[in-house]
Amino acid sequence: MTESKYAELQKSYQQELKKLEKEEDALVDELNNMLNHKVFLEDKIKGFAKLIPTLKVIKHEAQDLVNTINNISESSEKISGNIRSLDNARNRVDECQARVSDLIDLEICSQGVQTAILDSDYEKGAAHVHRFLSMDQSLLKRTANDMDSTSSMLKSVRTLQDAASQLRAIVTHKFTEAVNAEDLVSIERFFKIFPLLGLHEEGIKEFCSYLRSKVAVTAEKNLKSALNTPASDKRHTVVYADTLTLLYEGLARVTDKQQPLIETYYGPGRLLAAISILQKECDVQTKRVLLEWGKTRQINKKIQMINELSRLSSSSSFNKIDRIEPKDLDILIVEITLMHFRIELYIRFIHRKIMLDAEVGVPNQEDRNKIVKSLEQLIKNSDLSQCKHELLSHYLRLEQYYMEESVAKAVAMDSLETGQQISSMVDDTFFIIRKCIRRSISTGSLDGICVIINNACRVLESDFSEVLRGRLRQGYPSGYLDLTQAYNVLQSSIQQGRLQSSDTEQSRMAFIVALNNSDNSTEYVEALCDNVLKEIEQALPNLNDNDRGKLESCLSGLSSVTINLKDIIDYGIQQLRSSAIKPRINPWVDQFLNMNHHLTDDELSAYEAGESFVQTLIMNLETLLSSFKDVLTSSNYDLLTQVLTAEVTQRLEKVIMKSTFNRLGGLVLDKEVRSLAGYITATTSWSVRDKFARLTQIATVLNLEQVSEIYDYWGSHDGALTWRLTPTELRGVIALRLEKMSLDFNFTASEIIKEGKTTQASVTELKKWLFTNTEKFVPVTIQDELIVLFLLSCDNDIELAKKTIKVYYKIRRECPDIFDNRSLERAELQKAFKTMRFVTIPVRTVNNDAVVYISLRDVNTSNFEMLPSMKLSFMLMDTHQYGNPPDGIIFLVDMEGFTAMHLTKLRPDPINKYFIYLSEGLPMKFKAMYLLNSNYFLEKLLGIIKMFLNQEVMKKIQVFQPGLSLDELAEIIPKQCLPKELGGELEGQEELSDKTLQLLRNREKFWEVEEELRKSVKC
Amino acid sequence: MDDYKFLFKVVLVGNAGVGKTCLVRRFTQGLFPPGQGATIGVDFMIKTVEVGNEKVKLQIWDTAGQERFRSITQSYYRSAHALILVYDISSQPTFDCLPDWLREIEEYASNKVLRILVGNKIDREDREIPADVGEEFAERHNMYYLETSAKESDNVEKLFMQIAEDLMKQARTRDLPRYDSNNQTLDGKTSTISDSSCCSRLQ
Ligand SMILES: Nc1nc2c(ncn2[C@@H]2O[C@H](COP(=O)(O)OP(=O)(O)OP(=O)(O)O)[C@@H](O)[C@H]2O)c(=O)[nH]1
Ligand SMILES: [Mg+2]
Repeated sequence: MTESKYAELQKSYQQELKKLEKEEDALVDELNNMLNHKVFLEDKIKGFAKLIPTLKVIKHEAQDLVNTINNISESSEKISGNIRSLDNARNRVDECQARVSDLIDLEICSQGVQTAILDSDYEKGAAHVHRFLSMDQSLLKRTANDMDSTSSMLKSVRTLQDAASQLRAIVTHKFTEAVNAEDLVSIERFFKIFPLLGLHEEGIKEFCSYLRSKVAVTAEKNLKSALNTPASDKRHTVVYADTLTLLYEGLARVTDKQQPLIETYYGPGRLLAAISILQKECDVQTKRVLLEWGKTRQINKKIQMINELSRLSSSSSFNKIDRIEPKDLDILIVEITLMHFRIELYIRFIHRKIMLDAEVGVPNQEDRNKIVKSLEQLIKNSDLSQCKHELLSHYLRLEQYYMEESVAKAVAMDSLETGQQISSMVDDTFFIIRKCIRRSISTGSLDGICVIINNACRVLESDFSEVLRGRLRQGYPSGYLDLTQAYNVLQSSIQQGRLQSSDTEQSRMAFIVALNNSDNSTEYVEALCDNVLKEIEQALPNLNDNDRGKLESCLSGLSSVTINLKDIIDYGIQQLRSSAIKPRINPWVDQFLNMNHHLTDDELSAYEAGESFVQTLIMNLETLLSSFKDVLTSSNYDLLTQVLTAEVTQRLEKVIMKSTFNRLGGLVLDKEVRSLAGYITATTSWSVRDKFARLTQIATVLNLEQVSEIYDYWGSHDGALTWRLTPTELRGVIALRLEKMSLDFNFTASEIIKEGKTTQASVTELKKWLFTNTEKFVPVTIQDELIVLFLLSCDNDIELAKKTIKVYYKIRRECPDIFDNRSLERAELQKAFKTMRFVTIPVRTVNNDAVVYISLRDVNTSNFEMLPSMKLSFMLMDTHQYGNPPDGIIFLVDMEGFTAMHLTKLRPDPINKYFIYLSEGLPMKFKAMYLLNSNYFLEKLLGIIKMFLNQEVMKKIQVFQPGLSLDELAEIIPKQCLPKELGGELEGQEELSDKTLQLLRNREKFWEVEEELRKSVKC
Repeated sequence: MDDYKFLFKVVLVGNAGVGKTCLVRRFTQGLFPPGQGATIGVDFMIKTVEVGNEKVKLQIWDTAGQERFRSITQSYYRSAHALILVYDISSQPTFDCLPDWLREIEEYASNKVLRILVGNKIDREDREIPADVGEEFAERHNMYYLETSAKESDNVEKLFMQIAEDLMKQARTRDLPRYDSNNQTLDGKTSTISDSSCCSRLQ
């Protein structure tokens, strides 16, 4: 414990020591440096010492300078004090002078004013008073206190004060007199005097009251003449609007005329007071005009009737009350909009005038705000505004009624002219809507415009669109459209609102027209939206952001009308799809099923020369489309062709999936898909590529030279396609190409699955794996039966099956000498057959194992070839797998006659591969290999083989010495599986060999197909 | 940047002077406006709020309560997603008019519209309508009920946020109020138009 502590301490001391040593080194370095500098510094110090006397001189001089400056500053302080007192003195002198001049003026004024009054020179008198009033009254009082001759000055003041009140009375009186005498000159004269006497407000009040009375007289006269206007007069229908116009123009004229007078004599900023007084008359007169107007035009009665009608129509279809003809309201509505607009204009006029006046005459921002506020109050609280709101309310009621009724009428009187795609209701309806919105713009009220736009949306969305929807709901009777008949009868039927179900031609036409109307309406709505916005911007140029937001929000209601219409169109097109397109197209496309898709070269030329499937189809489509082309609007026609294309491609896809193809069949299909897409492209204005994408890809796959080329398109490498088919679908398509080239088995995958030996899930899983597996020697698809064999050989172990499949295809590719060219006509195979006996034992063991038996027939070594023998041994196994799959395979090989010479014919590499295949790639369990009549050479051979075979396999190979008794043999292989010669119950080996040859012959086609399928895999 | 996901129209109605404008101002501007006059026609205001993590734009239409503006205000009912019916808890007449207002709503608005009854001015001492009377009325007419004070800012935020949340829920289930004259769609399935027309889905 202490020891370790000690060690620690020692360590840290050593570290400290090292640190100190380092620091010491650094310090020594630094000291050295300093010493080096010392010399240099000493030189410098010597230099400075020389400078010292010079610096002393400078210091003295600076001191002197400071003293001088101090002196100067003191004296300038004194001077500025003097100047200040001088200024004060001057101010006092000025004030004095002002007081004196005030006093003198006071004297003069007080003397002059009396004379002026006596002379009736009120202007002069008022001028004296004005001079007096402009004096600083408090200053006057101070002067009076300062002076000795107080009495005379006070007298003057009193005189002037008296004179002022005297003048005020006189002027007021004289003004009234002048008004009564209608003496314009005097009125103006005294109006100008008021402000001199400090009577600004009174002056304006008096004067404007006078003006007001003048306005009243004129207005009275105008109204009377309006009431007396004969009905025959051109302006009779707008006579009240004219009367209002006269009123406001008169008011505006008065304002414009008197404003300079007021401004000159009363100063700016007084217009609000003036106009407030005039406004009272404006209110009175406007109300009177509107009262008379209401009486004459029976406005309340009409509004009441309209309200009643709308209440009734919404509750029930009550038709007792006479409807008001919308047309009859036209004139009245125009008059209201005119009146409203006049009021609006006048209000804007007042607003503008007063604002301008305030801007010029009221510099103080706060005062100005006050004026703005009172102006707003003035306008808001005026009867004029009330009247305006009432007029707008009337207008809106009438206009809404007008719009609804007129549109209802346009719909009811719908008619179609020959050769037209749309009927009259569309043009008529949008004409009405346009007209109403325009009229609302002419009121000048944004709120009014918004309401009418809202109303237009409502009418279009419900009344108008519902009719179109209703017509489409009646459906499109399937069959062709005969134009010539349709137009004739349709006219009357549409108008009666109901089509008889027997008149299918008309029903069709009515349907088509409704569809076109809907399409046409969407264009109208869009145009309406644009135009309305432009017109409003022109009519109301000063919209603020909030107003604009309001307007845009209302206009956006129109876009929901468009959406509604598009929905209706979509519904109609779907109707056409199910009743006119689908039932026709299906049989045409289904013809494909009757065509041969496995073509030879000759058949291909013949097919190309004749009328192909696709030509017929195109012809039929052409006929179908042409019946719609001229009757549908172009955008509806486009929609129809889109739907048609979707139908055709989907159906075609369906029938393709029900057919199978060889290479040439795929080629033809590819061509046909191309020409179909070409045809559709030519008929429409939209791009068909997307709709044909799946079909094109299917055709591409079926048209591949070799199925394995699919890898050029699949995956994530360059050149790979963006697939519109899922891997499963793609597999399905590939299967169509391979179907006819199937391996011949006498069992099916589903039978085996049914027996419970394997499962569909395992088969599917392997198929999926195959499809995505990237090893090029493994095919994209393998026939289900072969997959089942693989699964059985692996006891359904999927991973093992995958491994087996890989080995199977790998070894088969690497050893064409063993696995290719399995025609029995081939010389080497015939020769091998002569040299050896190859026997498929026809009976299975109790374990359901298959047995093959091989023995030498010809001991002449020169006839023996290794590879054909190997080939035949596997061919034997294939014969066993034709029918019900055996569990495993047992080889029984009689080695009698095997010599050293045979040994020389063997080569290690094929043998190696042979056994790898046998143990790891065989789609069958390798159970055992029994070698009978072994000898020295065979054991040599096995010694070699052992080196590259694993234990597992070696255990399965059993060697028996010559002299094995029949009973001993029967213990390994049951007697029913052995030829007569080996003590078995079967025929002799020659007979068995002959029969095996026959079995092999039967399998020749199988090998051919197997090889081709396997080789369709690109290496 | 207009990056909202839903747009809802909220319309306030009710007698003149019950405090509609004050409620809207309180919510949109956070103030209680002194001495502003009666509303003329309709006022239009916008406020974007956040519900969950989504931006919701409320378009608020403040209508005038005075009778002479009725023909203007009625035309906004149809496209409303929510209607706030306001009365003044210190004024019996404003409460008595509620049935008339409901009749208007019935006639002009979509029948799927979200309806909220609001008793305003609860800061006042001279209450005339007890809360349970208002609540009972709302229940009878299938409306939400809330009492507010625009002056003291009581429940104002809650009122509008509740509406935003409810409308959002409706939009999610594609059941937004939308005016349908006969409430019938083409093939019996609910119309999907509302989805794109009423609440513009922007990026
Ligand atoms: N004490 C109190 N007063 C309120 C409240 N809300 C509004 N007011 C007052 O009620 C009066 C009317 O308020 P507004 O908001 O203009 O009423 P409105 O409903 O918009 O009226 P119209 O626009 O004419 O329909 C104003 O004087 C407000 O100050 C509130 O919550 N409490
Ligand atoms: Mg208001």
